[in-house]
Amino acid sequence: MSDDPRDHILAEALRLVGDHGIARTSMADVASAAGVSRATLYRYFPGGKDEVMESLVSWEQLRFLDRLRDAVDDADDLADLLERALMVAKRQLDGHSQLQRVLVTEPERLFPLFMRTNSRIKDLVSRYLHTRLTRMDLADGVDPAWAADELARMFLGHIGAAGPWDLDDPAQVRNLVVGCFLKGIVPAAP
Amino acid sequence: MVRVASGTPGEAIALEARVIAGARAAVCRWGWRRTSVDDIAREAQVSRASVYRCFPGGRDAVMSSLLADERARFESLIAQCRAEHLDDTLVELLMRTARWFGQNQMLQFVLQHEPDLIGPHLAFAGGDRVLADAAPAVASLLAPFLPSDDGASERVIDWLTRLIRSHLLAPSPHVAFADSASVRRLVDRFIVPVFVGADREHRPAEPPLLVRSTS
Repeated sequence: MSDDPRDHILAEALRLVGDHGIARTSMADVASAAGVSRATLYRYFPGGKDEVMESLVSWEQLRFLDRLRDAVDDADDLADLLERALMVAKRQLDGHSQLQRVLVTEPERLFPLFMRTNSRIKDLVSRYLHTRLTRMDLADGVDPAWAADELARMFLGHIGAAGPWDLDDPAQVRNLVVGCFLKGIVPAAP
Repeated sequence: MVRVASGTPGEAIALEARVIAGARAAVCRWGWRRTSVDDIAREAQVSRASVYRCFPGGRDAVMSSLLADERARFESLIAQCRAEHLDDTLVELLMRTARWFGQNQMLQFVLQHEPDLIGPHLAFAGGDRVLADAAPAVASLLAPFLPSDDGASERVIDWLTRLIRSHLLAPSPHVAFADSASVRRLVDRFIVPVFVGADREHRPAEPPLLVRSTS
């Protein structure tokens, strides 16, 4: 973890949200857990608790994407990369105790925060995939930037909400990636 | 204030439609949570008593009928997208869905001012709800182009509805949904190949005639 006091404050806020939920975590609680005065806390987050919670969601999403990138960065083919990313993401989200708690107890507080970060997260994933796609063999006429944008949507659209695909089953993940995600993007198999 | 009689079944249906329209207008003005029976009656220009006569369950009954009405409109919109060829059907589906989303004042108001209500329906884990609502209508629209088997078709439909949802919530710099040529590029490049694949895998004996041969 860095020396940025914001990181320290947000890490404590995350712990508090995991223990008590969003509604029952106050600015006073965050200040006290982080060992800073309320005045200091407000200097970092002038918008108060709303800003702390919004920053917390962005911060944790960025950490999630960092871990995800580390887990797939050495993949040398696009299908492998996306399959691993889906499975790692699923495991990480399932094992994220604070997220799982709030999803059950306070979804109405969490969703608006996700809605606000929606586009930005999609753009980050898209930018990463774009750098990978420019180095790969694509089907004729595929624009790597556009394909990266669609792939980011497909990826993010599948990790949040359970659906008919079992993302713990490698065979199904392969079907999803090869049969849906990449169908128009990579050259057809000979 | 207009007195609306409800003597005959036809009049009762007219009153019901009027109250639901009033509720829709009230939500566009006050939001979902703050809409009361008084607001509904005022927007519908009927008396409170008429609202209760039509919906003895009061506000909750009106609001759930409003939701059912919204869903029925959406489903009928999807059914209207049917075309002879898969690509045309998909272009219609995407364009009409995007127009519906953009022009739906009630949905836009709630998204803007009460995102906690819509969130659970459109985003993250609660996404299952809107998907569950839309998926059967999309599935029946696209059934002629998919194998009628196990879960393969269901999974392709689920994949497609998630992709559409993402485009509605986070507009793409690559697709203009009001422009049919732009939508067609999205459909031809990224969506049609999935259907062709789904079909070939499961009905190898059938010729892959899903897409217009030339255009």
